[in-house]
Amino acid sequence: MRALIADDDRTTTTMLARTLDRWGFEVSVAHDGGAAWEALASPTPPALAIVDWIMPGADGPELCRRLREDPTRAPVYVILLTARTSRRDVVAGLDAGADDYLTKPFDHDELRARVQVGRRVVALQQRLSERVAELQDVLSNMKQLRGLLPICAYCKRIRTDHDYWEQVEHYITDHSDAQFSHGICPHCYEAVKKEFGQS
Amino acid sequence: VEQPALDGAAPPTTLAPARAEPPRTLGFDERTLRARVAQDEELLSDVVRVFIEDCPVRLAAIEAAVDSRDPNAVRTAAHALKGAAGNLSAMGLFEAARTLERIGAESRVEDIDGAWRALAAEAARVLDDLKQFEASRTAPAGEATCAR
Repeated sequence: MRALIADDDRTTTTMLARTLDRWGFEVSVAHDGGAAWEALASPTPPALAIVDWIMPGADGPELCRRLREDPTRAPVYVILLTARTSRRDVVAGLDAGADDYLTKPFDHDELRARVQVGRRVVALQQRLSERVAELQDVLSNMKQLRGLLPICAYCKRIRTDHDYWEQVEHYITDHSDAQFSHGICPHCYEAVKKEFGQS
Repeated sequence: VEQPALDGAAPPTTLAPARAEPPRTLGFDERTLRARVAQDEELLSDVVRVFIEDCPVRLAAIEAAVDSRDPNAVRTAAHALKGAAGNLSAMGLFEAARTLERIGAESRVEDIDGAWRALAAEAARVLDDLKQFEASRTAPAGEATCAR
């Protein structure tokens, strides 16, 4: 899983980058808002980003807002890094679109726990989008019954798209996953009996 | 009464001189710093080295902001050092940077110089301690170590 660390402070990026690398992330680092946005807005963005609140170029909440503006963008789990701890600041950060926040100086165990939450959410999102892609695939290949079927009022054949009149059971079998088992209803039974000369 | 220096009998247990002065506390907290890097010795060295390189750059930026008398520049420059100091567990420096940042935010221009002097002194202390700490860690076995 790829992760971006965005902070203008090299001490913090050194610490975070190595720690996440040890946890199995493929880490990239940005030292200002511009470089961070370049990574986040790329067609293949990192799955997780730890972004400092205050950076030259663009600050963390601004990057979150830009990310969330376009719902078609690949999702990035953003942890906002902040020395601000007031409830108002936390709410402002989350409102801007951050998924979580971490206060500086950070605690190693708290970082691990929050990154773990991020990893779980990213994995869930990936599974969900894979499932949606599978369903879209199934839908596009699925046989569909048309909404309005032209049917003969007498023989009950259905006119196909190619102007061919088809037995109703053939039509339904061809256009859905339904299958037919054949029998004789009590109403038809007498007529059939007569036809075959039985008493 | 000044006592004679210990004649190389035992390694010093603090960074204080081996005289009868009370041992002073370090400018950073080694225990929480070690916890933050999960006891990774190599990362500890890297982080200390990066801070030793980076801190003077930050201090120069703060000094330039102080000289410019621009409270907003002071706030931004002080903030940049605050994060680094905090993650290095240099809490005295963290507080000094926070004070200067707040002074900048509140545009209390008359308080800038005093807070800057306090911050510069604290930064010098932290840098000295870190350099000594790093030297003691990289010294060959058997030489004095920086125990706390």
